[in-house]
Amino acid sequence: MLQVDKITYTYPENKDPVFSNLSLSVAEGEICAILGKNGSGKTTLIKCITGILKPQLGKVNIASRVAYVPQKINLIYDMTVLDAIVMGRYQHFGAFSSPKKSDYVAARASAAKLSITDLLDKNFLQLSGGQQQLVLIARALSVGSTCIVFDEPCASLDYGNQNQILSVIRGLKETNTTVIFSTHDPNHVIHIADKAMILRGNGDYLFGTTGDTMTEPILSDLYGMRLKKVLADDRFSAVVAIFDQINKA
Amino acid sequence: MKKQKTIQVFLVLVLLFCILGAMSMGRYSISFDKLLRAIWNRISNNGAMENSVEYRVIFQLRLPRIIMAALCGLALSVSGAVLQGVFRNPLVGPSFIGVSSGAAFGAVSAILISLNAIAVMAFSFVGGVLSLLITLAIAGKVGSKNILSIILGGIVTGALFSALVSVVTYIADPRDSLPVIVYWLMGSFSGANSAKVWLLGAICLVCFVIIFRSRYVINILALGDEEAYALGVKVLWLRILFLALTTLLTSAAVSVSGTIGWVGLIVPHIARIMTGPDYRTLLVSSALIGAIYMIIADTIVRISAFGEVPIGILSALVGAPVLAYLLNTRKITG
Repeated sequence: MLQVDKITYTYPENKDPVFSNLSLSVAEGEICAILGKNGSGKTTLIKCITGILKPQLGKVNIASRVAYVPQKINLIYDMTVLDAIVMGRYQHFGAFSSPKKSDYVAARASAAKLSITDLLDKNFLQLSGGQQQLVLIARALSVGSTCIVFDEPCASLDYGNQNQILSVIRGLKETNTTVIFSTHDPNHVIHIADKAMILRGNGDYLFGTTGDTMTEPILSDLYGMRLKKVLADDRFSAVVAIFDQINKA
Repeated sequence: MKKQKTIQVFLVLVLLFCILGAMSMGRYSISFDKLLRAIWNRISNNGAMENSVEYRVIFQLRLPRIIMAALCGLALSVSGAVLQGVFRNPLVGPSFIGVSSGAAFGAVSAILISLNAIAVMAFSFVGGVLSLLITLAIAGKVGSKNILSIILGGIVTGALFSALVSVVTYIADPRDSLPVIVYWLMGSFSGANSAKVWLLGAICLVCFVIIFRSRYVINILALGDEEAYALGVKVLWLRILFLALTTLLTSAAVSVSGTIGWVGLIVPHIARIMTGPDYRTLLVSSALIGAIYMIIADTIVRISAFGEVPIGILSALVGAPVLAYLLNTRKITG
């Protein structure tokens, strides 16, 4: 479904590449997380996958059109939720036309899939962060793509909203949608991802299944501090950070 | 949307009122009664008034000038609105991408070598297009095709063509071409005739139809490059298309009226205050307000007691305080 083949990306103003010779592959219906510290290149990799940035070396092959869910959008005017979702239909109505009835039908259907039809007439800017993220996911669904890329979908959301967004992303698996999302929280990875790409900084990376990569030594090394995996309710594991440096100080 | 539509209907009525008012006002004052009779004569194809002075003043002198002023106002305001959205910058206007200066250089060059009015238009147009090409070339050399590099390219091109205009002014014959150049540079609709109106009208119609059909994608471009790109918008090509269309509109306006600043910068902001920043309504509101603004300004300069004051001077005198007010009241934000 998605094949990233030995890509290298260097920002024009920098000498060192953000990553080099990076490869990953995600099959249809799989969820792949991109995990890393702040500034490790998660967003750069997401932009390379969506085609916003062109890697200097290597190739990104995707079998379908990619739908992209940004962290937030900078609206310049009061827009209803329906207007925001129907933007996802751009490739159906094109540059010299406006959304047609069929586009609004598709937008409403996307909203229905996420149970947010009651928000359709509301002002997008007046929604909570979690609701805005749901609207952006609905917009991505309205593209009609089988591959959705999320840039830090849970950034600045409280636990309740994180739980809701992660379950929506997990639910996409049932429709055979391929998902790639970036995060700096290992908990998001272990709960919903099949595979993980760990960006370790200085161009170094590690790619594998969630089970293989989400180990205590790898995670502790990644964040430069002790991280422990714990069981909750005997079913769910969680990653807990041990802030022992504070006690030492 | 309903409120915006109501405001636009109101603007249409104001525009009609301004057109009628401008037709009746001037050195040769025509009463409203005679004006309406003359219009009715024209509509009903009744030749009863055709030889009267009022009829000729209204339809041969004033109407072409009023329509030309309205079309120039429309062209400059819509150009400004589009550029502000496409470049996500509230302080961008047609003069910022170098087009006004390029068109002005083309026109003054034609006046310098004593070419006729049609050649002045053609040269002005070529100057505008040339300035766009130079702006894009500079932006490409700067390293990327992003918003800032195009704006910087425009500022450099504008400065270059302004210098060239000064060179032409410097070498122009003070007894012959210099006064014409200076008067032209300050902007005026006094040279209006039906040929110019038809040409300007055709260009405005084609460009406005394309821009109006693209109103939705301008909204998306205003979200930012990455967001637009992620939605599948061909950002670079569309930006070049909008630059070309606004160059056409601006060059066409400058070629018939001279350089009239501020309209393209101020009017879109007034339209935003009245009907909001959504381009689905903003384009029409900017066009209507631009036309109204220019008709009122031209009527004031026509009836001025000091002789015909160049409209560029009046536009700057009104535009600068309005911009200061908008900045002060934070109606313009980055």
